[in-house]
Amino acid sequence: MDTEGSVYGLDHQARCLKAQLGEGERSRFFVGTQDFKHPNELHLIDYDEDESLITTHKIPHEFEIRSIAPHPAQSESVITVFKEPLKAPKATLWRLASPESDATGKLRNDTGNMEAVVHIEPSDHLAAIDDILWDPSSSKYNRVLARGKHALALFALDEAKASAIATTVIPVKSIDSTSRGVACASWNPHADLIATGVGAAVLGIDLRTPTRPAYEIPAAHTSVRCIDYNPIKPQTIATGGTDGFIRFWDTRSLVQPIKEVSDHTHWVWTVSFNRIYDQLFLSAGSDCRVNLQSIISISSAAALSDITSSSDNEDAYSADRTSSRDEFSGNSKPTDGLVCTSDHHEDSVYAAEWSAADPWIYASVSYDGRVAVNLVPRDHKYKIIL
Amino acid sequence: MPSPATSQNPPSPDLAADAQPGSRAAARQQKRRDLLKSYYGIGERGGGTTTPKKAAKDKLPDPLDIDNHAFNAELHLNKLLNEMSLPDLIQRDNFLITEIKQLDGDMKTLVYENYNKFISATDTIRSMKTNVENMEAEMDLLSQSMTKFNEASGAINRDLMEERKKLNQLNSVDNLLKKLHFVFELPSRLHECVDKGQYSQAVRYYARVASLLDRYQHMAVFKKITEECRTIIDGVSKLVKDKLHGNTSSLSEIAESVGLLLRLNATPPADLAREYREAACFRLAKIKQTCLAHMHDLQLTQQVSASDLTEEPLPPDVRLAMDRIIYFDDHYVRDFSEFVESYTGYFLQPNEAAAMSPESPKIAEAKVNVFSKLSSEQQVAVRGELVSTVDSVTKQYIEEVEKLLQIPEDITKLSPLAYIHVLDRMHKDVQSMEPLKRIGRMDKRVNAMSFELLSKVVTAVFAKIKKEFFNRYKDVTAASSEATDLNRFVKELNSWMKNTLINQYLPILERFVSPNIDFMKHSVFGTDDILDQIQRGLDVFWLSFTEDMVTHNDPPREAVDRTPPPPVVTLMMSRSALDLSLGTVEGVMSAYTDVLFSRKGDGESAVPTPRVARPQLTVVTASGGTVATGMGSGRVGTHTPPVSGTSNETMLRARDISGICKATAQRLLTIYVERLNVGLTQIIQIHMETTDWERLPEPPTALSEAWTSILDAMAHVDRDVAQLYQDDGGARAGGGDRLNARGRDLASRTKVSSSGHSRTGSSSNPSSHIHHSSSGNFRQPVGVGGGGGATGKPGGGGGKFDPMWSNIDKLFAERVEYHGPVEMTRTAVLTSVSRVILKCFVELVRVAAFNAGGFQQTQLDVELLKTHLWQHCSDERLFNSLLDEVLTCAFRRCLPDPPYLDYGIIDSLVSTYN
Repeated sequence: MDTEGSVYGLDHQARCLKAQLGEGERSRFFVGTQDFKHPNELHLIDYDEDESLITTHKIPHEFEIRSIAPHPAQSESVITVFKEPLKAPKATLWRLASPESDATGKLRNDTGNMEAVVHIEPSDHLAAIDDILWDPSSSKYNRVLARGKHALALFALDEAKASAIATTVIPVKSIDSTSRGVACASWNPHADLIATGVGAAVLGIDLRTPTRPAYEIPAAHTSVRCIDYNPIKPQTIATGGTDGFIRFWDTRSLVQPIKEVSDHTHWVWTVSFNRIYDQLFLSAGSDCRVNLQSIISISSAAALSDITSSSDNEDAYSADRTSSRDEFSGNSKPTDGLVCTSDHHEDSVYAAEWSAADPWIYASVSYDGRVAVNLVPRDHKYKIIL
Repeated sequence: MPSPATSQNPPSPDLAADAQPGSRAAARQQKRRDLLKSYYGIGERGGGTTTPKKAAKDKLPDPLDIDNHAFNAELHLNKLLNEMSLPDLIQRDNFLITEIKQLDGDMKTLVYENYNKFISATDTIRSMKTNVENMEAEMDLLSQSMTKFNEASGAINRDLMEERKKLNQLNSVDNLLKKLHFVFELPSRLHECVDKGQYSQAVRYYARVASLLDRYQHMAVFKKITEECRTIIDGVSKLVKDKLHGNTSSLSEIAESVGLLLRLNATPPADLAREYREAACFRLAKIKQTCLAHMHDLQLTQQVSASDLTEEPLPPDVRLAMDRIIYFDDHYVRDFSEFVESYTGYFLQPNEAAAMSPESPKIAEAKVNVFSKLSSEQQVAVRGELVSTVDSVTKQYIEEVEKLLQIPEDITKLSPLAYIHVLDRMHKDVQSMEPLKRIGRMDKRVNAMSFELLSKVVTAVFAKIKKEFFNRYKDVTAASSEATDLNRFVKELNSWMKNTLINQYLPILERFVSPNIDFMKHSVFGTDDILDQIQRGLDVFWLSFTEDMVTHNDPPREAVDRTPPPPVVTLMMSRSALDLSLGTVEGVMSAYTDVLFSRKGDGESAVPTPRVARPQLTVVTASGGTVATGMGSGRVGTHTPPVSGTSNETMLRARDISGICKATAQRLLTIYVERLNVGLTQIIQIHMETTDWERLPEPPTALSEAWTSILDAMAHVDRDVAQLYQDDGGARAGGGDRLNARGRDLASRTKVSSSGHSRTGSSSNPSSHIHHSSSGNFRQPVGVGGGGGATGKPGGGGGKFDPMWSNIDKLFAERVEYHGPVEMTRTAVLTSVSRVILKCFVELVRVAAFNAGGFQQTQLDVELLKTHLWQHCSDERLFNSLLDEVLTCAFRRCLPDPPYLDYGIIDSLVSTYN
């Protein structure tokens, strides 16, 4: 197995990429192109780890894709947010005609199609839909949250009906003097709590009591660009902003960030915790960089390692394990810091995502349409699992 | 021949007899011998020959061995006769004869010696006998004499007995009569004393007979007297108590009263101690008040007293301060000392205290022999109370002195002479007050306090200039709207700082190091310590100064007030810090070294020994962070290398600090740029996000307000920065070049037109320009004039994205660091700001959608930037590629393909900005 990863070029510019969450076997990602004037494509790409090979399945998509929200459980369902000329951006839930694959699971680089199931239209209060978030807590997956510039809206999805009904609209106001709108949002995987980046601030919005923010960080960045909840420690959120900083916050104590990283030299457009090993952290931005960080000190692994290290001296078995670990990885435990930077991109990177199937694989897409799939460096991986 | 046989023969029968079993006599004899042997320790060694039984065990019986107990002469002889030849036998015979003779001789000698000893022993015994007989007679004589003496002495004693008894009797009667007389007279005496106000005399009288009266009070005569006395004494003690608690009683009166009360034994001593302490404290507080009032009123005396520390006459303010402290010490401290002394005398250590007070005879007299006996616990308690009183009074005293020496608001008015004289005087005074030294260790405390005060002064001196520095900047903040001459301000501020530090503060500090100050001689601290203090103060000053500059401009997240000063202040402070690094620090440090630090170690040795390597210059400043040694490159070559070892060291430190200052300048400049970026990108962001680019009218009628305001801001920034930071040479300077820029722009356009279209004709064929501006990212390497877009492939694609060309372009472009440290030149600052602006523009255009009007507005804005922002950006290639990217992107994100705005319109609109 090599750790080099591979690169795939799209014919269009692109700014969104999401892991196909319903797929548990193969590392597959949706990539949406952004071409205002020409027909666009939704690509399903498959990364074969053994051969380090990318295969694709193309689905025509008329309008430029601004965001993708794959169904958390069903691999064939996906929501795209797109913009027609002269119309406000909106979203549609699609069902894919299941793509053919060969025996090993590779895609056939063919073109397929999909049908629209439910349309999610902006309303008076929700002027435009910029992004869609699936409700992570319910197992029925019949609720989504639409993010607009100045409001959030909950929609109930009913596949029997052609368009979703907005159940709740939550206006979101900037708390600073500027009129900047909501730039990003992330749904707490364990609660009905949405973290939003509004201007320079981060606001936590509890869906049950939406009138008042559950928490707020007044000056998180000069302008917040992206936000993510730690899936394992949901009191930890990460934010990235136009100051090039990534900050980690404990939502219970927001005076100071619990950690600050400044490895980017321009805006940070995406931050993402690894869904299984939350000490691995991905960020990308318009400085063309995709950075893989180790943030073990604030991850759930830090708490775990405290327990194991205290019991280390007690039994011979763990001593054995320690020695074998040394044998494999050369040096001991992982520490905080930049693990690696991907130099595959020549233009701004707007999306970077962990694979849903394999925690050691991640993909990123830059504006020039280049998709890069990378793996966590092998020695670092061994540091974590051994 | 036969003699050996005979000599050997006789033991044989004995042996045989001895060895007879069952012979009881032999057994007894054997036992006796064993006892003797064990007594003399002969033991087993000799046993081989003398004790046959034992020898039998050791040796096998061999009748042929001459030394064996079983020796048989007959057998031996036969054996010899049989075995030996004649000459051998003769030889054997001779040998035996000599041996026998020798043995005989030995025996004779032994016998003779024994005999001799016996004779001398007899003689000794005889002489002893005669001597002892003599002695007995003498002893008898002695004993008879002793008996006689005894009898004589007894007789004399008996004769005198009578007389003695009489004498004793008479004596005691006389005594009793005297006492009685005294007692009977006591009431009247007491009355007399009380009338005269001689309470102490009265008390003394009463104390003399108190126990007597106590004992005989059951007798009617005495009872009356007792009662009479008691009433008088009660009156007395009441009077005394009143005096003790009285408001007007002086300290010595109080002390006396306590002494009396102690004698009267009326109050428990512990209570009395407490009362005394309270009364004295109250009194002391009053004394202090009057003292302070008096000190306040104290006017300058006319006589000019010369300082004993310096030859020059003291300036008036110093004299005043001196007068005050002398007065204070003389009254308050002396009184306090006396109180402590008498308290100690009464309750703690009688003798020593009495002996210790020759200078206050009155009190000494009053309290001689008055000492209350307290239990040890009570004594501990009483002592503890005293110590705490002394503590609090010392503290008050120190507070008063600190008040007296308050650091003036204007440091230049600070009078080191006053400090030194007052502290010196104080030290001397306290030194002379033994009780205070003993109980409260007041001298130590005063000493420590003096030093603390001195370092406080040093810190205050440096803190003052820092405060003034930031104050002056506050004025800038207030007046920032007006055009301040930034450069002059910074330069003036800098020279003011240098001047103040060297010409005003240095002489002040120098005076602290005057070598003949009393308390320094007595203290564990010395001149070197003061110098150390100043040096440390100076170091901390520089470091905390740089740190404060950073926090002033970049308030930490936890700070309460997070609104930083206007960016221009950050810029100016950056320049200030740079100026510090460019000689100011070294100048100040060298001046201080020459005047002060080079004196260090003067007292120790003439030749300064090379010191141990100075520890790495990391100073933990007040905020807790450490300031590491800054850039090594911050050294300035203009300073002449210093000579002495100490100054060398200081200059090294000065260079380190210069480096830190330079790093601070750099950091502040970076903060400045960051803050500009934040402000400007926010304008762009709001402009881009709030404009509905899909619904703008066509053609645009005006420049975007956001961009003109950004250009205004840039011009302003340029003006500010130009005053403070120089160009690095290669950059375009000032407004004069603006024409150049414009000309350049025209030239590049002319190139376009040279390929067939005149500029005036561009309106007739707008698409020719499309390729110039939009193809930058598509078909040709980026850069103005890089081959001329129009000469390339015409037309094709009309904005269709071609990833291959895009990649090739990017491959040749360097990766740009938009955020991060900024070089300290005007060009670098402006370039950094402008490229952040443009990059922001690019990013935001990418998420917008346009109609023709929107596109044309963007085109107009891009042209505006090309004309006016160009001069600020030294990175031409990046500048053009970013603007081209904006235009390309806007074109691509516009539906349907928009017509380009006519250059005539663009020019006329762009020229409206100026």
